[in-house]
Amino acid sequence: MNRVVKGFKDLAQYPSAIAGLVLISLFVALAVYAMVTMPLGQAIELWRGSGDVWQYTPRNAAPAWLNVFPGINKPVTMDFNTANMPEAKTVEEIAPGMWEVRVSFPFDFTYDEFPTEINVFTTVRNSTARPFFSMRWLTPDGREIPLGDVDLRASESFRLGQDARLTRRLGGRPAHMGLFADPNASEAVPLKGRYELVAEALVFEPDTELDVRLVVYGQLHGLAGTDHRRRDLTVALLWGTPIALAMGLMGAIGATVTTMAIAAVGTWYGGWVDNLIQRITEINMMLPGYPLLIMIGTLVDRNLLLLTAIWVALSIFSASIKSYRAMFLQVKEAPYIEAAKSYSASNMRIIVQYMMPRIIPVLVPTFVGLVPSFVFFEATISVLGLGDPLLPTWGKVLSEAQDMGALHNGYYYWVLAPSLLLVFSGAGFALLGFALDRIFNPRLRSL
Amino acid sequence: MEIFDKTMRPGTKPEDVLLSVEGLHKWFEIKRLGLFRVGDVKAVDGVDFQLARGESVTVVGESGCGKSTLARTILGLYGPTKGRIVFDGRVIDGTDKEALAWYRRHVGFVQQDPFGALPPFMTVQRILNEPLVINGVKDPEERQRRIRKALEDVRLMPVEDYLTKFPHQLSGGQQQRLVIARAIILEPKLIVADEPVSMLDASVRVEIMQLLGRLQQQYNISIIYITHDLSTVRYFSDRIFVMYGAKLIEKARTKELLKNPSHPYAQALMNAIPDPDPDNVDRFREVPGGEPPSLMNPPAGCRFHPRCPAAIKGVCDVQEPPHFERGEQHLVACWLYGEEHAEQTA
Amino acid sequence: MENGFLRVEDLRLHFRTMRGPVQAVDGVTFHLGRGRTLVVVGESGSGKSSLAKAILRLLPRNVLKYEGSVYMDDVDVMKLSDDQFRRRVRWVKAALVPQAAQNSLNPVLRVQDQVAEPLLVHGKAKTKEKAYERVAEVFGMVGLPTDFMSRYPFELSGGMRQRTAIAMALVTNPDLIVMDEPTSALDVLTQANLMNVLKRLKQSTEMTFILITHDIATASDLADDVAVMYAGQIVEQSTARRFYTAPLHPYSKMLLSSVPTLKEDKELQHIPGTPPSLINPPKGCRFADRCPARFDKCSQEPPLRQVNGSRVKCWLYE
Repeated sequence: MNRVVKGFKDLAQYPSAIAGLVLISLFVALAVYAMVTMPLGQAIELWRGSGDVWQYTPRNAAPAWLNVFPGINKPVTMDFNTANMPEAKTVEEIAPGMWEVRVSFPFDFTYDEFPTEINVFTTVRNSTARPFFSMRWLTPDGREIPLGDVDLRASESFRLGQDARLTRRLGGRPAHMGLFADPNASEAVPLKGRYELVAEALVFEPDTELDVRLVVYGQLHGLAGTDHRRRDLTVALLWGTPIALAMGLMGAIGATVTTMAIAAVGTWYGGWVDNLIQRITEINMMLPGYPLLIMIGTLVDRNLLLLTAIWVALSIFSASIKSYRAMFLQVKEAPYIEAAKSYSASNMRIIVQYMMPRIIPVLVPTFVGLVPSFVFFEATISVLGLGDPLLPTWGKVLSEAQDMGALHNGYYYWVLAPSLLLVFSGAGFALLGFALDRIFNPRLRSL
Repeated sequence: MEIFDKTMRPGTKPEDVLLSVEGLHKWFEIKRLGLFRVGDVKAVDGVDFQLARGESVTVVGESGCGKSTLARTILGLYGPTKGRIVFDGRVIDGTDKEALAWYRRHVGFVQQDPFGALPPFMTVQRILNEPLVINGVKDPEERQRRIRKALEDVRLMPVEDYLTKFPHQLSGGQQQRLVIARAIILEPKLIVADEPVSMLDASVRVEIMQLLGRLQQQYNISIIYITHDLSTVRYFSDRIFVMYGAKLIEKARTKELLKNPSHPYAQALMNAIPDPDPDNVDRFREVPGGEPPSLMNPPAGCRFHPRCPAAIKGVCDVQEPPHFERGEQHLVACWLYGEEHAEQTA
Repeated sequence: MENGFLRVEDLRLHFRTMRGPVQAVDGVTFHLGRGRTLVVVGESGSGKSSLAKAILRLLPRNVLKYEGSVYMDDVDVMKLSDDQFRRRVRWVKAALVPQAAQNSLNPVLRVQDQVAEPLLVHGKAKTKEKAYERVAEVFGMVGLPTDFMSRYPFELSGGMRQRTAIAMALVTNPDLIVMDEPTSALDVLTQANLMNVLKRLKQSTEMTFILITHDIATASDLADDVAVMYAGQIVEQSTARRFYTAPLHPYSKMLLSSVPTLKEDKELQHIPGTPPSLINPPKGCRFADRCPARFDKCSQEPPLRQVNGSRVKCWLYE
C-alpha cells in the first residue's frame, strides 16, 4: 500500500500528471454515468432510431447552450404533453354522453428566430367513436388562427408546416414561421410574447382518454445537438465514452502485455523461436495495416471486436516487439538472471518473474501512452466506413457527420464534439503517460 | 575416486574430495552471420584440479583469461565442451537434469556486481525466498526460519529492518552480504565467488572477505574464489591457481606461491601489484608489455611466450609445457622448470 | 606548498536532486605546488569525482551551488566567464582524463584526429600536419607506437585507448592534468604499465597532476601529496610519505589498515558503518559516527588545522 501512496505522491509532482488524471477521471465518471443511466441495449436501440423514437426532436439542431453566447437567441425545442401536464387539460360534460376535452398550451416565445417545425401529436384510447378535434392558435397580438378540425383516429400527427392550406392562409409561410411571424413587419421576424395552442375535442365515451402533444422544434436542442436523423448526439457521445475507454484499455493491454510476453519468450529461448518472431514481425511491418482492415471489414465482418483484435494482433508484431527485445537482451544478461539459473529457476519462472518485471517501468508509460492510439483507432476505422454498424461511438458520429457533409453545411458541432472528446481523452492519457515516463525512467527526469 | 591433483594437502583421502574438475574444456562457437562457423573461443582449455571439503582455492588471472567462464562452467551454467565435473562422487555433465538440480542446490554463487546480482524489483524477503521455493522447501515457516538464519549469518541484523527493503535501499556492502545470504541459504557445500569484492570500496572489501572466511569455517564450505587481484588472496585461500590463456599455469599453496612465484607470468603479476608504500614513486615496475593472447587463435607452445622475458626459442614457442613439479604441492607449466631444459642449462 | 600553482579555497559544488540537495563537494581547500602530483583518495560517493569536475568546471545541468575560489597561477578562474574559462583555462591550463576514458573516445573518428582536436580548436596548431606532428610526439610520451595514430578506437585494446585519452590531455601541454580513476577498469599488468608511463611523464615534464582514485595501493605509485576525501570534504592532506607511514586522521588510519597487502602479512581491519548521505550530512565531524576516537567536541565541525606540515580536519589535533 505504501508504494501506491508513494507512487501518487511522485505523480503529484508533475502538473501534467494531475491534468491527465483529472481528464481521465472525468472520462471514467462520464463512462460510469452512461452505463448507469442507460443500458447498452437501450442505447443501441435508441441509436438505431427505429420507430418513432426520434420524432419529437428537431433535425440537425445545434446544442442548446449556444444561447449563452451574447447575440445568439435561437429557439430551443419546446415540448408540451398533456400526459405530463394534466393541468393543461380540462374535461367537461357538456351534454349527456358528450364531453368536451379542452387542452391549452400557453407559452412564451422570446427568441429572435423561428422554430424549425411545429407538430401536434394526439393519441386517443378507449374510444369506439372518433372524437371531433379542432385546434386554434392564439398569438400575442390577439389574433386567433384556426388550425383546422378533424375526426381523430387512435393516433395522429399534425405536421403543421406541411399543411399546404395553412401555409397559404399564413401568406405562403410554413406554419413554424407563419404562426410566429410579426404581421406588421415587412420581413419575416418572429413576434415575441405569449402564444397559446388551444385544442378542443368532443369525445363520446366516459372513459376515453385523449392526450395532445405540441412540439415546437427549435434550432437548438439538448447538450450536443441532433443529427440528420433527429437523433440526440448526446446518446452517442455519452455511450462513446465507455466504448472508447474499453477499446483503448483493451487494445493497449493486448498490445503491450502480449508484445512483452512474446518478446520475452523469444529473447529467452533465442534460436528458432526468436527467429520466427523476428521474421513474423518484419513481414508484418511491411503489411499495410489499414488496407488489410478494409479488406477484412468488407469481406468478413464489420464487427468492432474482431477488427480490434486484428489490429491488436498487428500491433503486437510491430516495431515495439523489437524495442522490447532489445531491452530483454540486456535483461537476459543481467547477473541476477544468471543467479536465478544457478539456483535452478525454471525458464518460465525466469521469463515471468525475473525478466518481465524489469520491463514494467517502461511498459506502464508505454501502455498509458498507447491508450489514445486505440481510442483513435475506433474513430479511424469508423471514418473509413468500417465502424460497427450498431454501436453508438464517437467514430460513428464523426463518420456520419462526414457523410452528411456536416462542415460543408455548417453543422460544426457535429464534428467538434466527438473530436474534442477524442482529443481530450487522448490528451488525458498522454499527459499521464509523459509523467509516468519520467517517474519510471529517471534518466528522462529534468532535474 | 582417485586423487590426481598433486597440490592437494598430503594425506587427503579420496572421500575428502568434494569437487573434481577433470580435463575441463569450454569452447564457444563463433558464427558469422549466425550461420558459418569461423572458429571457437576456447575460454577454458583443459583445466584439472580437485578441491577438498572445506577448502578454499583462488583462481587468479586477468580479464579475458577465461576465469569467469571456468566459474560458470563449474556452476553448471555452461555445459562443458569436453571433460567432466565430479561433485561428491556424482558426475555432473548436464545430461542428467535431476543431478544438475541436485548439484545446483549444493553450490552457491556470489557474483561481482552485487547490485546487478539482485533483482531490483524484489524485496530482501522475496530474494531469499526464491531459491527455497524453487528448490522445494514447501513449509513457509521453515522458509522463514532459514531466511532469518541466512540474514543473521551475514550479519544483516536486526533482520526485520531488512526484510522489506529493496536492493537499492542497501549499501554496496549490504547488497553483497545479501548476495552471500542467498548463496548460503540452501546450505551449499561449495560457493563459487566470482570477484566478490572487486566492485566494493576498500573499507567494505575486508568485511566481505572476513565474512566469507567465517562462513567457510562455520559451515565447512569449500570456496572457489575467482579474482584478478592477488593482494586479496592471502587472507582467504589455501591454494592459488594462476590462470592465463584459458589454462592453469601455476598451482601452489598460497604462502608458497606468494613467496616463490615461479611462472614468469605469476612473477609479473606479483611485480605489478603495489603495496601501499611512499617509496613506490621512485620505482618502475618490471612488467611485460603486450596483450593477453586471443582465445580464438592462441599462440603455439606456451601461451605466454610472446610476452615472456625468459622465453626459450625453439622450445616455448613450439611445445606446450606440461605441469612440472616445483617443490612440494607446487606445479608450474613452464619449460624453465622442465628436466630437459634443466639438463640443457646444466 | 602554500604558494603553489593551484590553490583551491572553500570550493563547494551542490547538486539538485529529487530527494534534496546533494553536497558533493562541500568546502574543499587545498594547495598544490607546480610539478607535484596530488592523489585524492576516497570511497565511492565521497565526492572525489565531483571535485575533479568542480576544478575544471565541467558541470552537469542540475547544479545548485557552485562557489569558492580556484587559483591557477594566482588567477581566480572561478571569476572567469564560461567563455573565458573555455578559451583560457580548459585544455590550455588544465585538462581532464575522464573516468572510463577508454570508452570516451568517439568510435567513428581516427584517434589522431581526436587527439589533435584540442590543438586545432585552441589554435595551437595552424595546420592538420602540424597538429599530427604534436600528436606523434605525445604518442611517444605515453608509449604508443605512432603507427597507431590512424587507427580507430575499436582497433585498440583498453590499455591503448586509455593511453590515447591521456595523450589527448597532454597534447595542448597544459599545466595541470586531472585524471579520474585512470586505471580502475584495466588489468593488473596493463595498469602497472600505465603507471610506469605516468611516472615517466611526471619525471620528464613540469606538469602538475591530480589523480582521483579509490585504490590506495596504486595511488602510492604516483603520489607526492595525498588528500583524503570523506563525505564531500578533505579530511587530511599530507605528503605521501607522511600519509603512508603516519596518517593523522582516524579515517585515514582505518582506510590504510583496510588495504590488503601482497608482500607483508598484516591483520586487515574494516571500517564499521557506512558513509553518511551527502543529502543531509551530519552536523559536526562527518566521520564521527564511525570513529573509534570520537569525543564530545566531534559534534561541532572541526577546522582544517596545520599539524607538522600536514592539514587535518580532526579535533584530536587541536
